[in-house]
Amino acid sequence: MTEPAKVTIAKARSTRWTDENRLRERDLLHQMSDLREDSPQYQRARDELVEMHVPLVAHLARRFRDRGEPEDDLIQVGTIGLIKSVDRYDIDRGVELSTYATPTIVGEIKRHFRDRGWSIRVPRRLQEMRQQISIASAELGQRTGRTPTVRELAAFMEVSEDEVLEGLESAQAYSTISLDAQAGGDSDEGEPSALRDTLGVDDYDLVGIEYRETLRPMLDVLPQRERDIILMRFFRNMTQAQIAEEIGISQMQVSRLLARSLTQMRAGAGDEF
Amino acid sequence: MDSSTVRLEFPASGEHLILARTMVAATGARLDYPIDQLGDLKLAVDEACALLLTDSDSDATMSIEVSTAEGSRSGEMEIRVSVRTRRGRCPRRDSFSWTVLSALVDSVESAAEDGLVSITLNNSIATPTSLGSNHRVDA
Repeated sequence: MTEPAKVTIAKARSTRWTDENRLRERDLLHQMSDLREDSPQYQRARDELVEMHVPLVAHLARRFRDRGEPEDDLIQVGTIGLIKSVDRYDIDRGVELSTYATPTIVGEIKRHFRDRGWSIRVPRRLQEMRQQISIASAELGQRTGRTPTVRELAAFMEVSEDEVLEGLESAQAYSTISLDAQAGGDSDEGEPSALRDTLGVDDYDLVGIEYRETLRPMLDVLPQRERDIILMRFFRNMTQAQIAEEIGISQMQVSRLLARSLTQMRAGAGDEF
Repeated sequence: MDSSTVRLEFPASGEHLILARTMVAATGARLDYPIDQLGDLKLAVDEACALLLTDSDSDATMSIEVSTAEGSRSGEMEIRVSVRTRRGRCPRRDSFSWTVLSALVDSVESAAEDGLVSITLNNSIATPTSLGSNHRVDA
């Protein structure tokens, strides 16, 4: 249901809200209240209304952007709220559509944070520790050609091993930034995943697993790249470091994404996992 | 070679898994695991516990035992997670969970006796894979 809105985000962002827009909105809302829901005109009016208001969603999403979720994801879920509002809007009530839609859009965005089950705020101290570990492990990795240990990191960073452990744990538990954020955030817009192209993940040998019935729906809850990482780690037995190198992200990010993906899959699968 | 065992018991629910994970992470760090393999170890413990939790009684106690061979340079470690479950049966080996576990550690075994089900993970530090030069840093 969100498909039509999704592809038009980039275009809609530049829309200016003018009197002309306002008239057009009225016209479309009337069309929607007069037409049958299954008619193509109704669908077109609905799509156009949604598209017109995506800038509102983007505006609202911006208020949440420093909380660890990529802005585009927030726009995506906010758009779901927008679509719901467009569908439920009653033109006879005399409320502006934007006024009517705002609480629903914000509600969807907040729900997104709640559903992820992660804390929205990460203590600054841990954020900095995580950052430092990441930089330090890249530097040590370059020097020695292998992944460092906690002891080596602690010595290098001149902090205690406990602090490094705590930083690593926080990295796995808190961060919800997806790989798509790293890739510039526009990998959703119809572009095939480069990784998928090079690896042909669908060809993985999934011996011993009822792939179609069990694994497929579980993997479907994940974004494409996270699905690829799961397959690389568990079915091609690549190490976290190898995956990191292959995709061009840090090993800590791979670790974090694996933890998050497994939690998501588990939540979606229940006993079947 | 002497070995030492640390044992932790906690109520069988997801919110306590961090205790099991932290215990294993601290042990792995002491044995000088590289941080990516440490991450794998934590994922494995999470997975093993979560797998047992799906069938455990709500008031059950989960226990985790981590045994290490002192003086070992290869980080040999045995992790045993156990809990009383309703069906008292070993987890299925054709599940995705089991595949995940098998990929994360050297070996996985399960046992069931009088309703007490356990999963035992054995692991050691893998030979470091040499890396290229394009290490990345989190933005």
